[in-house]
Formats: sequence, C-alpha cells, structure tokens
Amino acid sequence: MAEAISDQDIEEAISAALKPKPAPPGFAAIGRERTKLINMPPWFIDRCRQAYLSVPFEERGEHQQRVLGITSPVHGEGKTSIAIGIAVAMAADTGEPTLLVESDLASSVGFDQVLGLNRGPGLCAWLEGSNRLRLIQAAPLENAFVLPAGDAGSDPARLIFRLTSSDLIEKFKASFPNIIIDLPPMLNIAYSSLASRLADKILVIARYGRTMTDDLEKVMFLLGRERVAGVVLNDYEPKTPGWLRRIL
Amino acid sequence: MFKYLEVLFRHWVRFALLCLGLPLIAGGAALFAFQGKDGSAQLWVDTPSYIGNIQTASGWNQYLTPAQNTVDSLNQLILTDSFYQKLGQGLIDSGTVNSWSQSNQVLGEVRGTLTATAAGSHLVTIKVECRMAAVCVQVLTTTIAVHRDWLIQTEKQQADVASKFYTAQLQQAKEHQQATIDTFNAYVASHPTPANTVPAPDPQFDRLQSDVRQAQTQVIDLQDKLQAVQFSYDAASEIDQTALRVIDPPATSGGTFTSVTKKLAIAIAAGAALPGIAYLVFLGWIDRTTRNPKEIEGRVGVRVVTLIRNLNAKPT
Repeated sequence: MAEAISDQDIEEAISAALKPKPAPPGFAAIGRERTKLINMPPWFIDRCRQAYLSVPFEERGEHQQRVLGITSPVHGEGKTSIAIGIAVAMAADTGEPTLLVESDLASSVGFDQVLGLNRGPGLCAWLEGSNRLRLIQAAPLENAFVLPAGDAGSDPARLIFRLTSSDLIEKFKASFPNIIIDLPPMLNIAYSSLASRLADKILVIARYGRTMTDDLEKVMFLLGRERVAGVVLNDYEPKTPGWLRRIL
Repeated sequence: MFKYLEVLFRHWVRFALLCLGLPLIAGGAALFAFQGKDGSAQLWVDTPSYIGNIQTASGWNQYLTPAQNTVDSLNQLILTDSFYQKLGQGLIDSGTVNSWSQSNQVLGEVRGTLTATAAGSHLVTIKVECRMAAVCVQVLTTTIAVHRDWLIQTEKQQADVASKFYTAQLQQAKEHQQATIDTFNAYVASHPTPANTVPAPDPQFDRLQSDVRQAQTQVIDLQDKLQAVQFSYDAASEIDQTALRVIDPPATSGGTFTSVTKKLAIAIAAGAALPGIAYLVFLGWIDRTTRNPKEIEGRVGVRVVTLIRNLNAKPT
C-alpha cells in the first residue's frame, strides 16, 4: 500500500485546501468541508499564544518554520484542546496557513468529536492508500486547517511508522509555515516516541493535581530535554491564596 | 511547603473540622470535665509590739509591712521540698488522700498554684487551685500550720541561742562580781576604821566600792536580758498565735476554670489537633502530582511556559 502515497496526492490536497477552485458560472459552489465553529474563550487562546511564543523555533530563510508537537504523559490532560488553541492563536497571529495534524491514533476523544467533523477517512486512510488526503478548514479561520486521524484500525503503530517514513510533514512545511501535531501521550502509547520525531519542538502538557511528577520526568527522559520547549500546566486551579503563594 | 498548604486549602473544611472543631470540642469538654476549685484563706499579721523588746519576728525586714514580710517568708517556704513533704504528710494524716502516690499527684497539681499575696499592710491572702474542695481546704490549713510551726521553731531557736549566750555571760559576770566583793571585803578587813572617828578620804576604798557596784549592775542587767529571752522562748507559740491570726478560714469556691483546668484543656485540645495535622502531613506526603510550577521546573529541569486554568472555569 505504501506505493499509494504519492506526492501528487499531497499537492492536490494542499491545493484544494489553500486554493479552492471557484464554481463555474451557472453552477452552485460546492462548499469546502469545515469544522464546527471553534469557540474557545479569548483567555484560553491567549494562554495558548503565550505557550507557542515561548518556543524557540528555528529560522528558515526569511520565514520562521514552526513545527510544534503537543504531547502529555497520559491521556486526558488537555493535550488536544491546547493543540487546537495553539493552532488558532498561531493562525490568527501570523495570518499564515496553519495545519493541525492529529497523530494520536488511540485517543478516545479525537478531532472528529472535538471539532464536530463527520466521521470519515483521515490520515490513517491516506497512509493505508485507501483514500485521498483530507484537509478540513478550521472555522472560522480561513487559514487554519485540520488533518484528522480517522480510523486507525488494529495496527496504529504500523501507520505511525509509515507516517514517519514518509515525507508528508516535509511536504506540508512547504505550504504550511505553522504545523501543530497532536502527538500521542508518551507513557501509555508504545509508538509515541516514534511519533514525536515528527515535530522539531515539543510542548508537554501536565494537568494540575493529576499528572504525576515522576511521569513528567519519564517523558523528559524519553523525549530528551533539548527537544522539549517547555511544560504547560493545564487546569491550574490552586486553592492557596495568591498572596500566600507570592510570599512562598 | 506549597504542597502542604495546597492540601490544607484544598480540603479546608475537613481540616477545619479536624484541626479546629475537634480540638475545640475536646478542649471545651475537658474544661467542663475537669473543673477545679479555688481555695483561699486570709490571715491577719500583726507586730507584737506590746511585748517589750520583741519588736519584729525573726527575719523580718523592718522596712516592709507585716503582710509583705509574711508573704515573703511564705513564698520562700513554699518553694522548699521539705514544705511539700510536710504538706503531703498533712494530707495523708487528715485522710484527704489515702496514699503517698495520691498525695504526690495532688502536690504536683497544687505546686504551681499555691501563692501568697499581700492584700494590705496586714492582710495576707493564700490561694490554691485543686480538683477537689477537701484538698484545697486541707492544703491551705496545712500551709498555715506549717508556716506557724516554722515561725515558732525559728523564734524558739533564736531564743535558745540567746539564752545560752546570756547564761554564759551571766556566769562570768557573777564570778567577776564575787571577785570584786572578795577584794573589797579583804581591803575593809585590812584597813579597819576606829569607832567614833570620821574616816579619812580613801581613794582605794572608793575604787573597790565602785567596782563592786558596777559588777552588781552588770549581773542585774544580764539577768534581766536572760529573763526576757526565756520569756520569749516560753511565749513563742502565743506570740505567733497573736501575730498570725486566721481571719477567713480556708474555704473553696467551686466550679471554676482554674489554671490547672485551662492547662489540661489546652493539652487535650493540642492532642486532639494531632490527628488532623498527621492527616495533613500524610496527604501532602502521598501527593506526588504536579502542583507547583517551581517544583516542576526543579524536578524536571524544563521551564513551565504557561499556566492554563480549567477551560470550563468561569472567567475572573
């Protein structure tokens, strides 16, 4: 099936997403597939903005290429929400095409559910060669797109291996200056280390009062501290009064 | 520290109940369960000035009032172990307690609460706090008795020493007197004066006669002093009965929160707070989750780039 992955297919998908063909005169325009309206509170987007702005991306020529992976020790720590928030903040701030890739193939709460997409083929189907690449516009932003994972079947590790072997992300880099990859959690998914190679820089999400510090240390060991741009402490609701925290 | 504070504030209702509610209940219950008695007695202290040369009791400071002098001696007396031994014996003898172990327990309770204060120039108040009224009364009664015995004993010892001193001096004076009389008589015998003649002035005779008179005066003076000392010795007990009168006999006012009760209640309340504190320490110890950004940075070695509140939380 590997031969089914072709450069032409990728370019067509990117072209369809970034340069949609106008409908011929006299024909009704067929609307592009869109996510449901992403409605995150401004303070949340602002916090996500703070997170991505603290990442030291490498300069590539005149433009800055941003390929940022988002992961966490285990599922349920807010990784996907923060990935979406960062993608929205990046797209809004830079005005450049921004792509959000779902590579967490084992998540119970996938993009389908979070972004209100029709269950359909995604990255997995494309990797299997059974379907074309499906890039969906992230409403209401015109320059933000989502690549859902779709159904991973019974062998997600093989698909991730195929994904890392392909030059899909490199191809995307040419058209999307901003790429956010929702990586699988590091500790309970076997192929997560492999998937983490897709991103240049990685943000690790920890959930306040839930993520174990020991787990966070293990994640740092698996990823390597030089690749981790920082930790985002999610769901931060300390009960200690602010004045007391400042004293301490 | 942050972790423990966080646990404390996170479960503040639980800890308020455990660390404040429980100690308050336990302390309050202890206050009512161990209510003590306040015992007091009042003494009138006087200077026995009508008894000749005995102006003040032995050891008294002439610049202090009788009450102040008595308080001073009482407060020093109640610091001694022998006083408490006598007090313990008094408690057993009176049947207030049955054994030395009970006596020691009572003494341990009253040791810090037995005080004497001057309520005026002559009025002395002795106070004590006890668990039982009978103990309070007995402690005060025994304290007054021990103090009185001590005063009498001191007076008698002083008088005894003075008596011995004056007796020895008197003996010496009598011997001297006899010697001067003998010398005088010998001189008179050796210088007879013829009858019906006017004696010529004799300086030697006059000197010997003066010596005899001086020796007689000294003997009389010492006899007077010895007599006074012996009277003082004999009347010591009566003097102290007069000088130290019990105006208000030992009595108790019941059902009060004495200092012993308060200390006990504080100790019980502190003890009741211990499980709550232990629970806090335990919860803090078992909590290994990420809570403090500084701790994360310290442990993991990577910067915490942002803190995000719960997405569903209300904006502040």
